Amino acid sequence: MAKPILEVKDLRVSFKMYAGEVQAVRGVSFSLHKGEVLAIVGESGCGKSVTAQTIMRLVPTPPSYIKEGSSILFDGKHEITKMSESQMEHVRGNEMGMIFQDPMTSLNPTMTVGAQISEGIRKHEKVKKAEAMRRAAELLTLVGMSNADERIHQYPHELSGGMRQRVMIALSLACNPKLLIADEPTTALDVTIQAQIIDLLRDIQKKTDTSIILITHDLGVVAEMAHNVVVMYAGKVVERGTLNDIFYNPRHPYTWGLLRSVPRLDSDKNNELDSIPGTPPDLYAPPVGCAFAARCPYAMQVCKEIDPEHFEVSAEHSSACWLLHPDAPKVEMPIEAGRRANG
Amino acid sequence: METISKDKFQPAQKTTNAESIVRPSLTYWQDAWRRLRSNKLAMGGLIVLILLSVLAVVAPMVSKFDYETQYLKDIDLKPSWAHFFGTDDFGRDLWTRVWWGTRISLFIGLVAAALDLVIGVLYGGISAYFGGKVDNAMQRIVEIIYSIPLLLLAIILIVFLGPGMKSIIIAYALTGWVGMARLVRGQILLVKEQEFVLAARTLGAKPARIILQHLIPNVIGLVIVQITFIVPLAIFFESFLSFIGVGIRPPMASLGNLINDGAHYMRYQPHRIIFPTIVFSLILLSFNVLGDGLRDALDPKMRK
Amino acid sequence: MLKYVLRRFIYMIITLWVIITATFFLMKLLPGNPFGEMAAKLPPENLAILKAQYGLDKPEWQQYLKYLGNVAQGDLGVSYQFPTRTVIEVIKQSFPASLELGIESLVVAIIIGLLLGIIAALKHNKWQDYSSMFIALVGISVPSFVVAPLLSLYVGNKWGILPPGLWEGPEHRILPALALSLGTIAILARMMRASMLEVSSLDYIKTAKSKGLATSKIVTGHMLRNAILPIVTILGPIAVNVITGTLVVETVFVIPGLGYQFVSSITTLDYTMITGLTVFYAAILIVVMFLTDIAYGLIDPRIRMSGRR
Repeated sequence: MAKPILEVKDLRVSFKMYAGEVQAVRGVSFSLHKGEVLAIVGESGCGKSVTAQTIMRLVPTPPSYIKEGSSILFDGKHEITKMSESQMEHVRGNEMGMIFQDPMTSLNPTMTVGAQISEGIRKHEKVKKAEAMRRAAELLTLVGMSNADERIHQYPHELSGGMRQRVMIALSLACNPKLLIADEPTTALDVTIQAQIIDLLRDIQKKTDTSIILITHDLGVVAEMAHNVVVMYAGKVVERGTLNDIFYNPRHPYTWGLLRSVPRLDSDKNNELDSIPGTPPDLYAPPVGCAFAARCPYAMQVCKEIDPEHFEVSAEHSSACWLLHPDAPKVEMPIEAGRRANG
Repeated sequence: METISKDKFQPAQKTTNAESIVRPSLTYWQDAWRRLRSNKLAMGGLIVLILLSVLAVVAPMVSKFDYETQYLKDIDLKPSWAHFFGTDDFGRDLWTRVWWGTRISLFIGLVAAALDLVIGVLYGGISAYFGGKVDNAMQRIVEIIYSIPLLLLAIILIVFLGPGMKSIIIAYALTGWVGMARLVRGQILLVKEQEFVLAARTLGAKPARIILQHLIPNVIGLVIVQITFIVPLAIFFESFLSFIGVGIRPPMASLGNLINDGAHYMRYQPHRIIFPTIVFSLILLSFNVLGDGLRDALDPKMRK
Repeated sequence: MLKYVLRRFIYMIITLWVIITATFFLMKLLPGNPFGEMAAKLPPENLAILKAQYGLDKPEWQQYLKYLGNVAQGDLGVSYQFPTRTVIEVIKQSFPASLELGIESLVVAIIIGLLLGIIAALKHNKWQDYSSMFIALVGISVPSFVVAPLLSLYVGNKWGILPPGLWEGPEHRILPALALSLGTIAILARMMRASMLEVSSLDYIKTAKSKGLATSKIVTGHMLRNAILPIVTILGPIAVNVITGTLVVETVFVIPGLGYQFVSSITTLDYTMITGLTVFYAAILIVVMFLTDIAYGLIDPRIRMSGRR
């Protein structure tokens, strides 16, 4: 197998706050290959956005700190955690692009969209302003906007939410990055627009063979796009695997819970939608054992005392759960989890 | 990993409730006070203000001198153990006069705060709570008053009604409170629109309960912050008027007329301007840092 | 937008009318003889002629209408102390110096104030932030009537670096403009800092960063423009600050401006001059507020857009 484009190893990020240290990311590892779409899923506050933004070093320091021993190796040669701010400027926008959650606020209201797209091009490639604007118009056409030559002179508030997210995608693609990070790209959009944006992303991924990290809590979006999935809980990866592993053979009770909480049209109306009881732990003081133990219906004594390592299910599939230990009682996966997920 | 004993793999007793919130919960005021206390600058301001207020009350009472008696053989004395701040060209003790002036300044600040609380908060609150036509009519009046420059109004009132505390207070009562009224109205309108008030109303909460539980707690922080900015403004206002000769008239002392007098004599008797200026600036500075600190402490959005 | 402008305009007129009316009736409240004490010695028939000449024999409502008409035509009456000078002449003579001083101090204040605010925000919670905000706090806490005498005494008299007063060459401009600008510097610096901090936490700044732009480019290209917009809303308070400041600064530095004129007419109790100048000052302030409202209305849709969640 070729070298991965991105290799994250034991990433730990903390925020120093007045009330103490919030350990937002507590040892996350995963890797991503060329042309691969990796989804990071989890509840709000599980550290998935911080992970994504740390890959581009977009989380301001202070208050955030990348802890010693963390490693983000990009393209086999750039150690992101060790790079200077000016080296990062070369990577951002040029080799990595980012799409943010809310297109209403992520574009500058006082600049035309053309200027905002061409700005990045002119930073990384020494081209004339007119040439950069021409490229901006091309990009807008690429993301499915008509009348691109007029659109580039419009301000964000003249565009709808879906249009703005297209602009955002065009902006992130401006310099043909090797890696695209999409941080909840559809969450703030209407359902019909969500589908369009997902189609667009999938389309672009196929055309350009870009690697994508997709941050989302929407399993529907994951099923549509992702090749591999990382499930995060309380700042840690609890399960990782291929799309099929996670949807058909999930091994972590948290993943079961996630899958069972997805509504489906074909399910029995009388069948209540399951939710995971309780709330995620406070990351000011993470629990000693498994972070999910307090909410887990299968929790054992060991779960509360020792944080489980990852147990390998197959080469690509692993889960951090004591249930996979040979001594653990055999627990059947709840049937609905597998059934519901076969989307 | 092999060392883990097998009995640990028995299903565990539910000991902790997953729904419980681990962090100790603080009330809004406890939390605000904790944050204010950690702000050294604001606490410094608060302590200085308390000290100055105590001095303003106590110093003239225990002083051997009063603010108006002239001792013509003791004129223009430099600061000494007899006269801590020296004397002026009428032989009046400046230590006593400065603290009298501080009293006057703080009194005017308090009156302004009271007027803001009574007129401004009520006006803004009524306007926002009733809304519709009432609000509309009340806001038209506010917009007109708001554009009347307070200082000019005070000057002409004083010129025509005669100088003194009364004119200053009337001017403030006529126009000074509109800033507060606008602020309170804006905040209440904002809170009224928010989901939690709507939720309370849908659940059938009575108006009194909505006002007590939702509106007042959300407005009170803002009012407190505004008052810490209003008080120094009123103090400045009096001193400014006294400085241009229309405020508090001698022999009554005010920080403004002491500074004005001091400015005339400062070439040869710098002590005459230095002491009232220091006290005056300390008052303004303390109120401003305290106000900034309170604003940061009371803003629930900052709660972390 | 037109409706908004028109509404603001009507408010402006109403406010002016309220002030003019108030000054008129305050004048009527004055005890004693409208022609001063000397006139008391005049024989009654002469006094009657004088009264007729000034329209004072007519009923009050007619006098009021005449006064309104006069003010509308720019006739603010005659000085009470020096009957040979009309108020409007005095304004024409002394306003230019005040205007010049005001503009000079504004230029100084905008440059220094905005710079301090920007530096403080960019170096948030570092020593640059603390020292900028300390300067701003001093600007708020030490009023112009303290700063002006001190500057005049030390820089002017004791050290002799710059002239301690008067209004002649360019060197006479520096100290008064500086004394007058301190308060405005403080207001602007604090506002600009808050505005910059607000903008810097917005999502589109992160977008700009994700494009790989350098910090300097993000500041100049994305933050400054958006951060300066809300500053427009405090033009009114700044105008008040500058105008009240001129009263003090001109008096201290003996500048033949309108502020000096106003303060001396207050000391000599020149009633007509006081009311005339009050109406004039009020008019200026109200027009500035009107323009501020219009400017705010112009930028408001943009602000609403960016603030939507």
